[in-house]
Amino acid sequence: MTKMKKITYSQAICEAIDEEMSRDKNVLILGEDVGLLGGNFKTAVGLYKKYGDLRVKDTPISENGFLGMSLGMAITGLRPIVEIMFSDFLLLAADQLLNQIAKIRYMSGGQAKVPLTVRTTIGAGRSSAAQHSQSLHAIMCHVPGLKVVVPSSAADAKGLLKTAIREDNPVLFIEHKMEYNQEYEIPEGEYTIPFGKANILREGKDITVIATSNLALKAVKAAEELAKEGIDVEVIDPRTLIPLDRETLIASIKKTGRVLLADEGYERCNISAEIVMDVMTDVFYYLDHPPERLCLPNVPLPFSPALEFPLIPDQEKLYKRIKKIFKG
Amino acid sequence: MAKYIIMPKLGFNMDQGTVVQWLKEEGDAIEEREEVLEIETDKTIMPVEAPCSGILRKILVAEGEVVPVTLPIAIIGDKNEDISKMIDEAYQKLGKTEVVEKKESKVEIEVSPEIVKEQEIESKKEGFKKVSPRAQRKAKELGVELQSLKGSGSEGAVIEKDIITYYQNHQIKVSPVAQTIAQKAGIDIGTIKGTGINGKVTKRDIQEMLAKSEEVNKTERRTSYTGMRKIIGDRLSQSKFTAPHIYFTTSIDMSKVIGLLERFNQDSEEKISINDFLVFVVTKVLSEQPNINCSLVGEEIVYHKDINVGVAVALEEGLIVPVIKNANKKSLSILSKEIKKLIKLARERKLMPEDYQGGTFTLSNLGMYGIENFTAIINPPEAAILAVGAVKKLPTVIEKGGLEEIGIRSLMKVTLSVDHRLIDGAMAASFLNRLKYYLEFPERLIL
Repeated sequence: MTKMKKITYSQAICEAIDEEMSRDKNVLILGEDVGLLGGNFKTAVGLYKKYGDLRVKDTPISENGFLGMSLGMAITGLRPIVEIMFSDFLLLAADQLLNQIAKIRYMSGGQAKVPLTVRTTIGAGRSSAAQHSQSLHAIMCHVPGLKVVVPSSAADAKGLLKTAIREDNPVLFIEHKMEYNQEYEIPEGEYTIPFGKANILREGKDITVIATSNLALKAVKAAEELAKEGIDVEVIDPRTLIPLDRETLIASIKKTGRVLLADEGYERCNISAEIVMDVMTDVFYYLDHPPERLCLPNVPLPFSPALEFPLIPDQEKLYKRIKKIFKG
Repeated sequence: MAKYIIMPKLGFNMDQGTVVQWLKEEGDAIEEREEVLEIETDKTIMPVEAPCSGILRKILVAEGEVVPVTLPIAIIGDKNEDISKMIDEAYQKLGKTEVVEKKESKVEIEVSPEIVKEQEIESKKEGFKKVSPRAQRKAKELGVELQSLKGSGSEGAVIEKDIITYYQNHQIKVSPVAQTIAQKAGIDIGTIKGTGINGKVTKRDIQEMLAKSEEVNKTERRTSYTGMRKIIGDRLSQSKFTAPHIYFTTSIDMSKVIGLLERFNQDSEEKISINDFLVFVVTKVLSEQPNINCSLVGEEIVYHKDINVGVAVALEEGLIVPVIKNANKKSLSILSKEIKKLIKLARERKLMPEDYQGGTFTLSNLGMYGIENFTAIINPPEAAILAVGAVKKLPTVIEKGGLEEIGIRSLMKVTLSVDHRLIDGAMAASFLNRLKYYLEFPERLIL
């Protein structure tokens, strides 16, 4: 048995960065407030003191600028980790991310590799209103050239982030901002988790729930409730959207005949549409029920918590939706 | 008060019975103790009597269906009594979802896939019946017709579970004991070939399966002598030990028949086989020599009016002999079609009891396995069986215009086994000679 310890999600992220920085002197971190403050979400606490100003760099509020700078570092031999505070702000740096970072390796005929990790956050629930609460990972998945990671638990976040940092191609690493202060059990010591390997969090035979980011953990809780009522839910965390572990998803849907996808992005053009379409030719004749999804409704997120929470997919909404599928 | 007629338990070992024939129709008035239907156990066919007088209001189980003992199979009641609750309750017990009509099950089997598709589209047009893709796939795989199914999925859609439930209730016949054992051992009943009546999976089938998997690593394989194997064994032992067999073999020159069939089959899509032709000629000879077409029943010899020719079909689990009824009234092409259909049904384990009962003479052909000559055991209560060997090209002496010369001819050996209690050597010889007479000069068939 692996020895476990209790730490928060942000500590797990910090630990991954710390371990990789001490392992490889080419790894460095930059972004808004990652230095003196230790990160807006406390994901770089103590790193500035340990590695100094050159390897832990505070940047101006200029996403396009410092993302471009990171690309320069990456193609000239460094292994930067960039923090973009909110995925909403990725749009400011969309040209660097989607036109430059995603394409340089291809356009240089493989002469330049881009070992760059872009970390950002998604998720509503902090009364941050419409421009600081979005989950924009589906937009980033549209353009070829990036690997996109959406970890659920702290343990997964640590293992996957270490893999991202060691990856020679650009990785967009998406953390859920409501998880940072949550405590988790994670294995002691160093470990990595490979990309393209979905995690079956709970085995079941009646319905497959494919849930991204922290919704995977909420789905497990909903599943435990549903189990008491005789509905046996299989919960799968795809872990990485690109590459996607089709085989695991297909095998599960073939087994259960039903699939519900849960993702905190807007419903329209949600990543769930892409996942369903991707596996449909393999699973069509195994479906007992049309695929369903639980996402954020197609409206800007309100500031008022009273209006905000009813919109966010959560454990209770998952529970109700699955119950409805089995109502007959 | 309305009452159920239930599937009776007629012996200690009987856990279910097959409805063979309804002797009464819905609406018929019935006296107490009057015979209403016939059932078949693994041993015999028995009539079932009415438990009370009244009107036969509802038949719940179609002919050919297998029902566990004590479950309701019909309802007797007064003319105007409301029996809808009883019908619901009965169908629930029987695990049925729809009203079963008499004789329908057999017709269903014969519906071709194209027609099923058309009907499916029809029903979708009319009622917008929802069937999940998974259910459609399963239905195709199991050969379940979707039309009569009720769905339990969302918006009343038919889902896989409905297909499987329907299939288990209607197709795989499983005894309750077998089902329990299979569930405990984690065996998928769908993978087991049943050896009971209508391919029913019995307790012994499951035990054999378990024994097999346990003994894979041992040097010798043992299975219990039960099911179809035992039925065949018992019947043949009974035949061989009670009926004194005598055997007569002759060689028949089949060159002309082969030439004739080649010409028949040249432009025809429905090919006529040597076996089909043999059934045709045997029937002809039997109609000329009715003293072969007989049975010993008790103290009497019964000479059958009908000529019903059985054709032995080898299956993995044993031998089965589907019967072509009234073969003497059928043309060669109709015989050929019917034989093909019956063999197909036999291989698919879909033969109904009436398909293999009532034979008066049997033909067993091992020619396709290259066997030159063999003797067969009479299939009781018949009095004779013809064993047919392979057609082989052999040098033989041919007479032509008073001259003898050696030529190559297609020769076939046939051996007739007869029950000497009923048939003497001269009669058997005469039968074979007549067979040879037609087969060597098939032109004579039109004389």
